[in-house]
Amino acid sequence: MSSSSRRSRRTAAVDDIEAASNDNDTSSSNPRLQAIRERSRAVAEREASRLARPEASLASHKLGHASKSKSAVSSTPFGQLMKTTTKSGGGTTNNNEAQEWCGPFSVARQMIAAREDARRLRLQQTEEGENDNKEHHPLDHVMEEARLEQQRKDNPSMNWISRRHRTDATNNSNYYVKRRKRFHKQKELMGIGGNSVPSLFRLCINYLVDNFEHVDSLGLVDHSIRVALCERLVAQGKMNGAAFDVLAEEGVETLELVDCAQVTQDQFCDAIKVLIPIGLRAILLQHCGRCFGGQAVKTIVDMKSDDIQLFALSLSGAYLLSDDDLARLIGATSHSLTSIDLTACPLVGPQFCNAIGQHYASSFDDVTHCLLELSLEDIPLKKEALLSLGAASDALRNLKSLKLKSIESVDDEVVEIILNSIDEASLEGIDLSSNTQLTDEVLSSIRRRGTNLRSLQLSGLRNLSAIALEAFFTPIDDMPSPPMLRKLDLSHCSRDEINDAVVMLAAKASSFRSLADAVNSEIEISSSVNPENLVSEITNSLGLVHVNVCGSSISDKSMEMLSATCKSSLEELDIGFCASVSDKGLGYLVSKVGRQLSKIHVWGCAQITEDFLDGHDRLDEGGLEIVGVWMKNGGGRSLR
Amino acid sequence: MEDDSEQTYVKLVSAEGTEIFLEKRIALQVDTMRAMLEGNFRESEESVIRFPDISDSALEKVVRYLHYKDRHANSTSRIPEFPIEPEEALELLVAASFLNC
Repeated sequence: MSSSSRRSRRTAAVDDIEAASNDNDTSSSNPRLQAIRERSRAVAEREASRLARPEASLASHKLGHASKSKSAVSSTPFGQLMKTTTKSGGGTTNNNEAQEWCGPFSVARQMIAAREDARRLRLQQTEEGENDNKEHHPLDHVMEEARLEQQRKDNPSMNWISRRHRTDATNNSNYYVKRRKRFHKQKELMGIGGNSVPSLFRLCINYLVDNFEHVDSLGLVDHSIRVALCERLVAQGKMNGAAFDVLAEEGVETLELVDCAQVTQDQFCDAIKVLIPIGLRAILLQHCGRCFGGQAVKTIVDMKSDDIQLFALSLSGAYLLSDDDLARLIGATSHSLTSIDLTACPLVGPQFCNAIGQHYASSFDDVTHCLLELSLEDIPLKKEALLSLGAASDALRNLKSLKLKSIESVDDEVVEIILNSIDEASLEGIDLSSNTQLTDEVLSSIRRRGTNLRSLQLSGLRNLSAIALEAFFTPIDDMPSPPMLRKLDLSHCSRDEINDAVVMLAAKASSFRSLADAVNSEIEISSSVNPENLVSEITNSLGLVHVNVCGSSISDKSMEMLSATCKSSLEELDIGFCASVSDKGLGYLVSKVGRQLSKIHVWGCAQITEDFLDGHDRLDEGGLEIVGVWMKNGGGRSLR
Repeated sequence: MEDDSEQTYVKLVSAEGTEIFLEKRIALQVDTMRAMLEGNFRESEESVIRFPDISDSALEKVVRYLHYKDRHANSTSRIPEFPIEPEEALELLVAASFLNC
């Protein structure tokens, strides 16, 4: 398919040349002819090396139009810069661009880009050199073996052998039988499943829910029990007003309802009128459109402020909650409210941002009100409102966790201004997923302001580039050190941009206490170093805990680095749709990481075969759940 | 600790002081009890676990459940229902939540 497209492109170029030359204007100043000549020359230059040796394998070369440095079109702003630095003729433009972005972060990016280009050029040249020699030397196979041996030493994961091959397992059974057996064994070890005995907790919950109309009151039960009851009630469709009365009885500290669709506004207001004065601390409602509107806000606002001790408010789907009402609610509760979480509330707007800016400012009243957690998801806020949130006052100075997800107007400037208003040492968690306008600049802002960052979620940001991410996790002289993360989510970004280098650097950054002296100071990472040699330098309690790199292009090298750096911390790993991770890499990871690893997601990984699934080291002890196993026989016969 | 035909037993004491003996291997299947018995606690030395918050009837029902679970753990046929009385349901729920079983 690729060769035919190549051919069609060439024929199009040839047609153009013929058409131009038929114009009867042979002067070289004809701009059209000149342009065509230059274009076809560029194509010829980059394809010539490959076309001259048709027997060379295509796999080792990136097709010209797919390589970022060679192709003329580049989507990220950084891609433009890369192009001008490599072209020798672009001297003046290069200087201008360099002057615009003069911060240390962009300098680091340029250095990494230059290094990448040099490396690519070097690789290309060595590959061409290898393909030149077509003679067979008698010692060829010895060289090959030596090279393979070196590769094995550098990549310990190649040595992993599945347990299946160590013991003589019968290979005869049908694939579906094997899958069913594996599934049952996993469920049995996890303690759930159709044929095993349900837990006493589950039995009691089910019994109570089945007879919930006879339940008058629950008394002083733990909050987790109420939540479990609520979930089961919703699942059975029995969550109605009467059930609500039982769940929201006097003395509860937390009102958490998974689905309030059946609760009316009157009922809700009556309930909170009673509950708040006697100590309701948190309201966590989902699908609360019907019950949380103007009347509920009025009820709360009318109470004496001494009575209100709410510290957390989480509303999802409050479609009746207007902007002014919410602003008044913030005003009435800001003395104790430290955690605000709004999802899918379509009427919320600038009044809400003004209220936050006003009531949490340090200059308001004598009592300092403190906002610790702000989560906004899918709220139609305009850019001015968001800017005022950060710029109007120092309301966000103590913020520990910031989440701005799926909000269209969030762009680099907004993030920069909001991050600038937060104290440097306090921010611990950032979630900027699914904001389509964000680019690499946001990484620069985060790196400058987030020294204590523990959780970084940048899922679905398609404009991030590998170079910027590498720079983010590399020590740079004038900037604070890269964050020691515990939770990293880079899923659903552009596939090629989340590569081995990024993940390896992130893993290293998260596990070295002082990265400056632990690793060599130059930015170059030597990817041929066996990660096992790093083990002695790593402190045990650090490292990534949750890693999500779904839809990226990482390979077994990242698995090796993760097993070396996050040996005692890694708990959950999502490598769905990562086509380059193989059985060996995963098997090596499972054998090296400690028993706290409990979940691996492999959705869409057709290359993971029974070698890993039936042969990994923790098959017998249980505790490791593998989610998303490929349905058909994987390995050689994949659909790719 | 009594040895009864090669089985070791642990003693469970309810809020009212009633003592129930349970086979140790069944007790170790319950997360909370296993934590108590395997750590450096007094419970592991004496093989006695006290539950001052769980009433007599609830503790007896819990032990009944543990025997029921042990008996049907690996069976392939249909598992009979475990009967729960309405009066004891809520207290049993609280006990189950505490024991995580």
